[in-house]
Amino acid sequence: MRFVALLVFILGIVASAAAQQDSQLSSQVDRLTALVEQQQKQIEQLQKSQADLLQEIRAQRPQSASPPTASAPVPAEAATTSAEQVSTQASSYDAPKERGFALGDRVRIGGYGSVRYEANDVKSGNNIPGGSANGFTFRRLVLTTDARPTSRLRIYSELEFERLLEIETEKSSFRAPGELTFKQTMEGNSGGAIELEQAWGQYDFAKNHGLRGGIMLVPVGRFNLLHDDDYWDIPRRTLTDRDGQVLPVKSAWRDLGAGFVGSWNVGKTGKLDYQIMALNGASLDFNVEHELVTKAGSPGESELVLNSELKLGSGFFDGSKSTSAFAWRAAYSPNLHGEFAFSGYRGTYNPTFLDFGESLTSFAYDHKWKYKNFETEGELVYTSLGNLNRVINAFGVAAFNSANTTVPSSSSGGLTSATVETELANMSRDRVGFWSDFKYHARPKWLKRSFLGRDFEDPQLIPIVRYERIWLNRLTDNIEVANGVVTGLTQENLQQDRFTAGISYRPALQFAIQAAFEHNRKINGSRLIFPAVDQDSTNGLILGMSFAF
Amino acid sequence: MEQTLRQVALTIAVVGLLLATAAAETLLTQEQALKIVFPKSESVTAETKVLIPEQRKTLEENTGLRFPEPDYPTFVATSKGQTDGYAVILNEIGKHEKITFIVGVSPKGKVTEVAVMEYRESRGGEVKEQRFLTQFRGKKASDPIRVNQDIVNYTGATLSSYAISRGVRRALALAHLLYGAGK
Repeated sequence: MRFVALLVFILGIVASAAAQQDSQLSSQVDRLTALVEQQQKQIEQLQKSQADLLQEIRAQRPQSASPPTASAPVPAEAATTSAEQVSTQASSYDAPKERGFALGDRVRIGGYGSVRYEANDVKSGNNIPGGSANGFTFRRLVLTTDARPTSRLRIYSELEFERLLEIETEKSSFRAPGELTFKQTMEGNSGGAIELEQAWGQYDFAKNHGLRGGIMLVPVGRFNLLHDDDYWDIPRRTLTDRDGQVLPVKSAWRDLGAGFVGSWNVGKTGKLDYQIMALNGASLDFNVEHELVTKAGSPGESELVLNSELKLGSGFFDGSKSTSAFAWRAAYSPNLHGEFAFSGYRGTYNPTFLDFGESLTSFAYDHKWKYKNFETEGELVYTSLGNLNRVINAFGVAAFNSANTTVPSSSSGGLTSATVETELANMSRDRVGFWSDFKYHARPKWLKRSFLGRDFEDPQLIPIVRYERIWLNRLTDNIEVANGVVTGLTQENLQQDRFTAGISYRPALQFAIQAAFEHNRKINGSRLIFPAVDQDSTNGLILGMSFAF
Repeated sequence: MEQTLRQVALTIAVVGLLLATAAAETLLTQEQALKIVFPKSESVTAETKVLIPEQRKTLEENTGLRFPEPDYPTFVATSKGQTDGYAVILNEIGKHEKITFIVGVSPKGKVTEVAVMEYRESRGGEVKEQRFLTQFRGKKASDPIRVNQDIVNYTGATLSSYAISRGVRRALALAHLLYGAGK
């Protein structure tokens, strides 16, 4: 009986305790529920504040800087709530809104440039023809403007300041008793130039196909098209494209015309790019400096020396010449690793002092190929100037006759002899050249950790070697004219190669600090082609910096 | 005169050929981009993700990249209650301008598709092409996804190639952090 009473007592205590615990748990659950509800309200309030802030941020952002809202707008509901169901079937989204026309939003100004320091063993000292003296060279600064009024229209221009520090003009007039004086002067550094390198518009009439017109780069070889200094890792342009040069006109060779540019996809990974254009054609430009020499002991006789420069230029831009040339380029890229291209130019160059034109023909092959960090790039160019002797003969006679009528002659009347000194401007009948680059994009870990790589996304060191060689055949050096008749031409074949080894430090893609050693070697002829000195070889150390923005 | 007529006829023939072989250019809207990234999904949920400072710090420390945007438009695709994948729309600077593109990521954390939605640069637009973008498929966060390593840059579009590569790395990091893709 006692046992039963004890059991009932214990059960009672346990039941009472359990009831009390249930009550406590229940109240605890109630408290937690209230807390959850309270926090849920706070979350909702925070979400609402977040959505309001997002709306405010979007409203404050300029249109151009608010993608994806500019291009692929998120629905308003999605911005005010955190999630939104998107149908992949129905067209429930607005098309991209056209942005309002704003000059600052559609026109981009950029550019590139480079400077160089050179030390070499050229014996001739300073003022070396072609520019290869010891010292700094301000190679160029090119300002580019690029406008896209709409997605299918593009206007592009490049204005180049080459080796130019300043141009200053002065115009004044003075009045004095009995006279009036006008004075006009122009000052500037020697060898400098301001050039309009490109100025064209392009209308895309279809996807990847456009009609381009204006002053354009002639698409012969890859260097002329990719002549931006920041693209290259050696601080000197090639013999073939500039210093030699094998191209009819030194790079950047441009001309006025119109044509088509575009590409087709070939298979899954291939692509065929093309350019074809009609152009005014290269022009034969000349400068003549008269020098009259009277010969001692030969009364009545004078010798005229014409220091002349005869060279091909980028063409007529004033509508004074009929279009006489076309150029083309076809590049096939089987995949992203590289491309191979063939290109050509065919036209006539019509000297203004002659009544006939001669043919001008160029062919080029070029390629670029990369495998992991290795990269090779090269170009081969052939150029023929047709029957150049006929042009030079006619030029000599025309220059002589012109001088004979304007230069004071001896008392016996008329010049009896003349020497036409033609400055070397690469007027060879035909010429060939090639260059080939091999380089490696090194990204050592120490570079990224050191001050050279800190704060840069992909700093690189690029060791590079380049081999190039050019042949100038039948280069005219001198014209002998007597009594209005050409009596002799001095011509020779020149051949030269150049080996360059260097390293380029690129903290960023648009900026390079370069160092290169180059060795120029004469193979055939009386002198080097570049630098134009009477040496069998030259060595040089070139330090450069190139940049783009 | 006869020669001129021949030149005109040749020009017309060339233009005709080009027109016949080319199609009109279109930009990708968000809807079109989502169809490319999730071609078979039943539904797609659009979300706007705002990073808290700790998340931003974690992302930047793990990737070495910057995540400066105030919010990220993201998408979750589902079919029959199962998650098909995620997508992030990003903007990356090429040379001067932003390139807007979408990156699709599978639940396992691999890139399923990349599509350029808007390209504003004057040069380098070739990165829109499939032959460039397909090389990102299957890439995961542990891959380098860097030009000259496992990505071949497009000649003439090097800066844009860098931009897209950078954006894909950011998209994978965001999908991993926000949705656990690849965990």
